[in-house]
Amino acid sequence: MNADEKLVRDAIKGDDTAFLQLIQLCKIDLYKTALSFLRNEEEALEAVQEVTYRAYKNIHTVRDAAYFKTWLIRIMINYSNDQLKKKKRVVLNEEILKLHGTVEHHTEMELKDAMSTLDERSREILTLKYFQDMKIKDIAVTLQCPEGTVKTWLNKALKALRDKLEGNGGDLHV
Amino acid sequence: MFEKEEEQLKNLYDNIQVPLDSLDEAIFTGFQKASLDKMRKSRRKKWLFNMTAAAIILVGFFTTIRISPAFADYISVIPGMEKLVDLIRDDKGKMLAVENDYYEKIGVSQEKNGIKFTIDGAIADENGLILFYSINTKEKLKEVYTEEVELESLDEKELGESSAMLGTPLYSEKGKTSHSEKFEFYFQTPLEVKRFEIKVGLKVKGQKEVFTLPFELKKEIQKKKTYVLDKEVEIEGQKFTLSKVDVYPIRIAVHVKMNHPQNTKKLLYFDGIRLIDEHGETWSKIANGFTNSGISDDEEIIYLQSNYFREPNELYLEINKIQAVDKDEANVVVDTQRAQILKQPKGNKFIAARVEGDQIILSMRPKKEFSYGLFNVVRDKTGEEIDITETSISHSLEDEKVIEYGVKLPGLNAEMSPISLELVYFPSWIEGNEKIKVK
Repeated sequence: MNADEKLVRDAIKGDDTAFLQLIQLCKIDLYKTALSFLRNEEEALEAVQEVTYRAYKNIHTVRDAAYFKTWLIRIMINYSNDQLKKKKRVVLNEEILKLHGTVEHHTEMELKDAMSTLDERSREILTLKYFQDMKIKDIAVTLQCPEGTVKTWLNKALKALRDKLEGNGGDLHV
Repeated sequence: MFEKEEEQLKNLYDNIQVPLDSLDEAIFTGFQKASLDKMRKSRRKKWLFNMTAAAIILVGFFTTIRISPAFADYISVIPGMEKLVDLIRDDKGKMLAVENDYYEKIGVSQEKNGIKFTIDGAIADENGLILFYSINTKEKLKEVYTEEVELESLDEKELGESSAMLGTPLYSEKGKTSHSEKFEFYFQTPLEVKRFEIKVGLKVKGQKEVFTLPFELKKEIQKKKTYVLDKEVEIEGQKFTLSKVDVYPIRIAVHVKMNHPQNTKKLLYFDGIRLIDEHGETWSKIANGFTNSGISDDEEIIYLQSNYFREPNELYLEINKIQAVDKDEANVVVDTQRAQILKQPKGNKFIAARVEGDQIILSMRPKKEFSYGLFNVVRDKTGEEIDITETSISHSLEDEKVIEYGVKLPGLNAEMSPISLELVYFPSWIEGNEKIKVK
């Protein structure tokens, strides 16, 4: 971690090589996060491009070198949420989900669909916890809230996800 | 409790294929775009240093103007005019100049290593010279920067001091083989030179090519029309004097004496000012480029788009909105050691200050987008002026509504604190509805 923190400090000072190295270290996670939100390769790649751009321009706002990655993922989540809002794709997917009805064994597709119908915060929390494998403590830092709150949200998110997957659309009609 | 869901979520993106090449390309493109922005920023700084008067550049929002039928006719008969139109679409005056055949074709070019640099044409008046140029290359290029540009006289007469705007560099992700832009030069003394030489350094793929092109202006330069006003105007009890209006083919210069001694506010910037003729046609401020320049502490020139090629029977100046702050509040004082704002105009519009290296960043949450570099003179605790090498405006990452205004002061250190920053723009206005007869 120490070596990475030095990279972050160098990058903040304007060292382009350090910056690119850092992005290299985080690129897979960035991509996966983007993909989990945006759900297609092309848009996820575009998201990585935009986030690299924003990160470079705002690198001076990194407060704590140890949390560079969470800072970066945070930018990605914000960007992805904005994109989703622009497209209102969520509505469309809800329709599809309704058609599918209930199935005992959830396919990947269904899981992805269900994810995308969740509220913003639940989606964020699940992304950080399960796709990024982040600890509750780190999620709390990323989202700037107490750990207890993260736990509550996480439970809510999982419950919402289960309801979407199992309920006969129950939640969906609300 | 949620083991099944957790398991599924964990597996969901574990097995996906990551398109590594495309991913690297995306990262590189994002990085390149950002570093290009940084270079552009420093180039803008260079323009500022080229200026003799304290001119202020405002690269405003790109406003397009509908093309008149006469103009459409005009460009349809001359090949190659379309690209020129794109460059002046935001300025009624320059479009009128072209429409009235005041554009002069030049067509001088030089080719080096597969790159051809051409001066296509010019619009010149006593005060300014606009050179339209294009760069054509054999292979597709993603980036071409114009580095230093020097304009010299080949006549016996010398060129006066000038300020220049060098346009935007070529930047295209897909690559392009041609790029058109313009240089704008504005002179302190009337332009009398006819024969010029321009030296342009282009940076292409890390390599520098210098092009040297002589050219000559043959068209007769139209004389400016001057309206002397010497009219005192009062808005919200604050007085200023409109001394004269110079109408040049390229732009209009409105001379204003600001800040009468009995004013309680310091007038900063005229937001709402325009010319209007008897038909109600209006001529606004320059949209992209030099919007005003300070001649002295209390005298300023405001530039408007030109109506030179119209002959209105009546002409009025309308003024309705001026940025202003109380005289004793026209600066912000920051304790850089403790990152504290010690003094600012009332209303506490600045919500925070911070210091990052040699940069002071002040943030504000304006009601409307306010994209002006707020400061241009900065002093240390002894009153000594400190050079600003870069100013920046950016939206805060945490909160899009917060705008951060940065000034870079090389050599900034604790000894200098507190630092005083004089405001040249500020989101507080005096408003009125003044209509002054010009003609």
